[in-house]
Amino acid sequence: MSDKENLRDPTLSRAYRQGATGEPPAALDALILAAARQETAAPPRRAPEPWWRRALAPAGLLATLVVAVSVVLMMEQEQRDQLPASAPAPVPAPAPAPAPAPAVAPEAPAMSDAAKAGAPRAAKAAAVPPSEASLAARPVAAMEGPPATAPEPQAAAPMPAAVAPADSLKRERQTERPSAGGATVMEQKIAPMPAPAAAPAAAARRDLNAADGQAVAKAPGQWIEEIRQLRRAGLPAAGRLEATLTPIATSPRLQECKSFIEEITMKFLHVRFAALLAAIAGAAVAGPLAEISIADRSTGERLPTWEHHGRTYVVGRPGDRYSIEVSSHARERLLAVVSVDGVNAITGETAAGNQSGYILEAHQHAEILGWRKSLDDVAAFYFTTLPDAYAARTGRPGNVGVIGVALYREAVEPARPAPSLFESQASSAAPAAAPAPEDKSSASGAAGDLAEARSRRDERLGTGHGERVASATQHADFRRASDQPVKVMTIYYDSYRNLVAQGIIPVPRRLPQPFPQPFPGGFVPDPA
Amino acid sequence: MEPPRSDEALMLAYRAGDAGAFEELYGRWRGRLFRYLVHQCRSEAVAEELYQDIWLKVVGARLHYEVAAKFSTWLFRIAHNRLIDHWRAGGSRATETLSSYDDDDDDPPEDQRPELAAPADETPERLFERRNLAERMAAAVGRLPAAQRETFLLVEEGDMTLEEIAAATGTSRETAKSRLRYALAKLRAELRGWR
Repeated sequence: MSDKENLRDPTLSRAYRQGATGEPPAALDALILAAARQETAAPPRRAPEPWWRRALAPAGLLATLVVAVSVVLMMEQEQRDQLPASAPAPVPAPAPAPAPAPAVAPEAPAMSDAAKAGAPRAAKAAAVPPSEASLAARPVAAMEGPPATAPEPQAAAPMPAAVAPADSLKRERQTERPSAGGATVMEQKIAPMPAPAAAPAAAARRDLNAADGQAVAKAPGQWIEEIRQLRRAGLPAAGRLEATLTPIATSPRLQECKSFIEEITMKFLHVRFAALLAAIAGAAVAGPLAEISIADRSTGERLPTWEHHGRTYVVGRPGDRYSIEVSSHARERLLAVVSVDGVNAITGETAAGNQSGYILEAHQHAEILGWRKSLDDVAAFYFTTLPDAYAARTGRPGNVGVIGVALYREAVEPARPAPSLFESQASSAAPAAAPAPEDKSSASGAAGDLAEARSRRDERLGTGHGERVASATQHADFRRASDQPVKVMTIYYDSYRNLVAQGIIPVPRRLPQPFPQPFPGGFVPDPA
Repeated sequence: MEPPRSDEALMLAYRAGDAGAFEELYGRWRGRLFRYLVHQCRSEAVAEELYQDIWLKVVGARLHYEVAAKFSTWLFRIAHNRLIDHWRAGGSRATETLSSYDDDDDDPPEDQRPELAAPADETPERLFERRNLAERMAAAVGRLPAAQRETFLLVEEGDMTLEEIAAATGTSRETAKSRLRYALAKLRAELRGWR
């Protein structure tokens, strides 16, 4: 009966044709054709995207990563380049102070604190934003302590604690002045201080500069007294900032730590960058091990997915049958353990990694239509309400709304025969009743869970146990290379309304029509 | 003269935005699908509702349509699934029996019989026989088990092969073949006196 003509009995066919005169009403025809025309007139809702459109998002992310890593590397390199240049190490010889301090000093008492901070900049450039004034303190602080010959890491040699007069400090700074512009900034900032105040301020600064020297070992009373002196002397804010920053920047131990951290950061960035490049290259060459998708069995179309916080979601409509499509990109066999709502789709047990699964040949595309009932058929998957879901009806509503596929590679070397693909079914007289013992053992708890789940999320979608569908398979042996899956792929599903409510699907904006209609309503809608 | 486009070509044209292609396609399948549903539901009102749902689903799947099978296989698979949804929602499966059939009600009134001589094939007796046969046939089809009836209808209305029936109904070819064989045997037995 393979030929189409042989399928018919001519007499029966003729008799049937004589009575087969039913036609749909003309109004129904008009309605459907109008809907079809409207569909073509409306802008496409979700046209299947070409590959380059799908690749845009990952490519953009990749480009952002590459740019970010490059910027970080460049900043690190730039910072490294700047540090030796600003260090006073290569100073050839002390030069005489080109400008004596009194040239600036007479103007200083009239300056406010902010003006004092900004004055050095103003001396070098005519227009400097006020915000840069505070920033100027940082390079200054790094310049202050180090001896002229020390390289950058050793730039924290303590100053002699006994140097007290402010003018001597000024002289020291004047000798540093030709080495870098920062020294000049420093000098001008300190110089305007009144003489009585400069002495305790300089003393305090020296003490702080010698943070890792013997000056640190002061009694708390001494510290308090010096702070009082500083306050009485009216130490400007910039001076306080210097005093705070200097010991930190010039401490050899901390400098060492800083260098170490920089080195580690650079190494980390290099490793991450190399790993990123390797991942990119690997993805381009090998691609993913496998992919899963959910297909509407009525129309054959793959359900569109939404990504949210690293999870993949699809919209299910109650009553729609669906299938799980698994496409292997591996060159060897894989074992796919399929879980629907937390239930193994083959055995009906609460899903776990070490259970039976489907064997995928190299580059095989498999379509899993339902709950396995025998080697020849399955009970179709279909979206349904939570109480009707198979998992909920068998007392396991806790994981309803998720589909998972765990992939295992096959052990290469020949070994003892692996457990049968359907060993759970073989050990159970009735495959459909496999979860029954579990139900009985935890009947009260399961009932409580179910009631709780019903009260909490009755509107959630689950997967039902539908009609029998032919789906032939057979037993095969498979020995896993490891106990842990090499990949677990997960897709969550729920109704459109729930996904919108959770913010997973953006709410479509209603744009105003170019030509508003005075009577936009159509016919009388059905009652809700 | 340009040969008629295949169903699949029409659907692809509709996917590309040609509404006229859909109208042509719709015209080819509207009667067949409707009769399939009427025989399966035994209620024209229900059949109309399902019929509308199925076509709207076809319209809605326009952008995703790919020629993975014949259009008729795709169409009747949607119909098959929609029918199962309908039965599931109603909490019952397709009923397997019909109300008793009274052929006395179908005797044409005497005053409506043609008085003029008609061709041999159009004599009142022949017309009566034919109409009666058609009605008996329809009743016999209705008495078939749902799966066998569906298979028979997919052959008659869908013009489908066993492989296509298997694809549309989610069964194997052998199952479809077996169902059809049983269906034909029962129909022959029902109409034995009319053959």
